Amino acid sequence: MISPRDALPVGTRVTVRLGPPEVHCRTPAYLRGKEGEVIELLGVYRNPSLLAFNKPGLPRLRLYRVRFPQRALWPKSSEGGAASVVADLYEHWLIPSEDNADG
Amino acid sequence: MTSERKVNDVGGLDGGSIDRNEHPQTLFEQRVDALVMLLIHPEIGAFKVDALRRMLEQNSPEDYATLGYYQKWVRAVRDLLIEQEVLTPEEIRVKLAEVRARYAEGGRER
Amino acid sequence: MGEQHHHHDHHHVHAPIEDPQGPIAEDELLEIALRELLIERGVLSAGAVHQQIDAMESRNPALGARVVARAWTDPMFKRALLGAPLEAIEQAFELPMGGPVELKVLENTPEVHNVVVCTLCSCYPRMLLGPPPAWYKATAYRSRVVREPRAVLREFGLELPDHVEVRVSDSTADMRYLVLPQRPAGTEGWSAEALAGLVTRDCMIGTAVPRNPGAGGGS
Repeated sequence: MISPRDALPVGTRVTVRLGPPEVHCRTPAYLRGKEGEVIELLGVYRNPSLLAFNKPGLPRLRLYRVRFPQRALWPKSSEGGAASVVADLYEHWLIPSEDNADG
Repeated sequence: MTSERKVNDVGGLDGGSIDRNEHPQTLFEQRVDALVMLLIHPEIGAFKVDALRRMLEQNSPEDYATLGYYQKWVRAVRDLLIEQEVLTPEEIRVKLAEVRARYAEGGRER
Repeated sequence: MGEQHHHHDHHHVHAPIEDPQGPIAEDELLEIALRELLIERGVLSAGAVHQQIDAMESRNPALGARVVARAWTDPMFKRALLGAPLEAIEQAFELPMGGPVELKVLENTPEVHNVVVCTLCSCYPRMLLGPPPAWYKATAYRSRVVREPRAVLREFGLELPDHVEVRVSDSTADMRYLVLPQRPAGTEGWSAEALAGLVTRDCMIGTAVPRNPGAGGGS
């Protein structure tokens, strides 16, 4: 079973939800509320917040690799040079940004 | 910034200097590691690795910071085996007393 | 039964944090108690624990280094490795790689340098490299590398030009990451075995890059 929402194409700008975090949550706090870009759809996986309670983890969720430029995460950072973070995030944590080109 | 941060959710915090000292795994560490890998393997499936993580995330900030990695693991395994009704607290208490007595006498493992 | 003769007991000799003659720690007693109970209940066999320890010892950075060197010297293998890593490794090295988690190989390029972390726990490509080093599991590395990756890499002795994107992959799901470093210059014609000797564990985490010792300390 796959959740009904259409898959987000690579290149989609997304904002990570602020919350609420699940009891067992695989979306780190430092990424919540931040904007990044989908760089890859890894596939569909069982929901870890349900697996954590020894449930089957269904329905499965799409899992995306999302890239966040360093400046989007730490605007006050004094560290120079190009840098980014890529995290694997489940679809229910991602909101497509309003200003995606053909959104 | 954001809502709730569990003890394990440390990304972006001020972490201090990185201690790069290493030691080969001790027998205790190897055994706990092996125990976990076997128990989460679908063949046995006593609990999911996600459930182990949930247990580890329930450590107090003090315990999370001060207990050894595999100390936290073995305690989480105990709690999960009880939660999943594989073992009872009473069984563990009795066995632990027996093992402790055996070692107090200078005995080895059976 | 018969555990006292098990060959893994020699590890106590190397263990700096515990004295085999001294009092046994509470958590060690707990591990023994749980293991004995699980064996008595038929959940585990004693042999399975030993086999698992042996299996884990077969996974170590030397294996990862062979995989990297093979990718440097065999374009077909490299393509397979980047496409379906576990299958490629299983076939080329005849090691079972099936398990609950997947592997993805992140290739370093002149533009992108990859670094791996797990900020939430300690996810690591154990099926290939074995258990992670202590610093990888500790809070300092996990908290800082996503915020100040260049400062962290500098502590590891790695300084990268500003234009190279330091890309930190946070292993937040059941995908494990292995860095495929760039082959050092001046190693043309080297055997895969010699090349593997340049690939340290940290090169595959991304906190180091392989160096050609004969290259006179360039770049």
